[in-house]
Amino acid sequence: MTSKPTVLDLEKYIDQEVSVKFQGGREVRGILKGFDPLVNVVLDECVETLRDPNDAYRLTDKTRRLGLVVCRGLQVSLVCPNEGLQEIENPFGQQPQI
Amino acid sequence: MAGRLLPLELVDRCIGSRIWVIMKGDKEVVGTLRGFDEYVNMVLDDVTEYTVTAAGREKNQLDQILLNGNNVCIMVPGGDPEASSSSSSSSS
Amino acid sequence: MSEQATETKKTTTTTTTGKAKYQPSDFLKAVLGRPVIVKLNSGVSYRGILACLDGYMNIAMEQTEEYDDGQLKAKYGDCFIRGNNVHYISTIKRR
Repeated sequence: MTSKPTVLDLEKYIDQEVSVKFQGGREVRGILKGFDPLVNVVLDECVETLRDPNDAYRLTDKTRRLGLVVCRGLQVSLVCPNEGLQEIENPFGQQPQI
Repeated sequence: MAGRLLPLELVDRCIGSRIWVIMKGDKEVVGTLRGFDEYVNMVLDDVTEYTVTAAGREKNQLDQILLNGNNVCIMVPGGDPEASSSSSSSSS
Repeated sequence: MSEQATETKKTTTTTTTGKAKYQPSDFLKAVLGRPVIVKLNSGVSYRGILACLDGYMNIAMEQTEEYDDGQLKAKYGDCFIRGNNVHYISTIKRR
C-alpha cells in the first residue's frame, strides 16, 4: 500500500533541532524524535521560551527546560527546522502604536 | 510514513506515572495519568493546578479530574514545573 | 440518578503496555449523579451534582453553586454548561 506524499514531511527533520509555535503564543524548540499525521510532535531536550507575563505574544530572553515532551497537534501552528533560520531586522521599522 | 517515536504511544507509556500538562493559556496541570482518549482528554489523580500570572503562581489541589484535551499544548512525562528552573541565557 | 451505586465500581481496560487504563468514559460513568466541580476556561467554577452529560462535555448540573475567584457568586437549581468552555471536571473528596 502506497500512501500519498504529504506536505508535512517531517521525516527529514528527525534528530534535528526544530522550533514549534502554538496557537495562543507559546513557543518551544527541541530535537524532533517523532510525529504522527495529526502533527502531534515528540521533542527531546525541549526548551520553552517564556513570554512577557503581561503580553502573551511577546517573547522574553528567559527560557525553561522541559526535557522530553509531546506537543499536541491540535494546537501546533508551525514547525520549522532551526538550521538555516535567521532573524532579520523588522522590515517595517517602528511598529505603529495601536 | 510516521515518525519513529509515535507521540500518543509515548503518552500511553506514561499511564500510571506523573505527567505535566501545559495548556494553551496560562494554566498548567500536574497529576498521575490514569488514562486518555482519542481527543487526549485525560483522567488525572492527585492533581495540582497552577495558574501563572504576572503576580505569581497560583496553586490548587484536586483529587481526581477529567481534563478537557481541547486546550492542551504540551505534555511532559514525569515533569514538574517546580523542578524546571528558568534561565535568562538564550544563547545555545 | 439513583443507580449510582451500581456504577461507582471502576471499569478498567488494558493498554498495549499491559497497564490498567481508566479512560475518560469510565470516569464520566463513575461521577454521574455525584457532586463535582466543573471549572471553565475563564476560571469560573461550578459546584453541584452532575446530572447528565454528552460527548461534547455539555453538562447538566443540579443544586449548582457558582464560584468566581473562590467567592460564592450565585446558586442555581438546574444549570447547563456548554462543553467547549469546560477546562476540567473534578471529583469532590468527601460529602
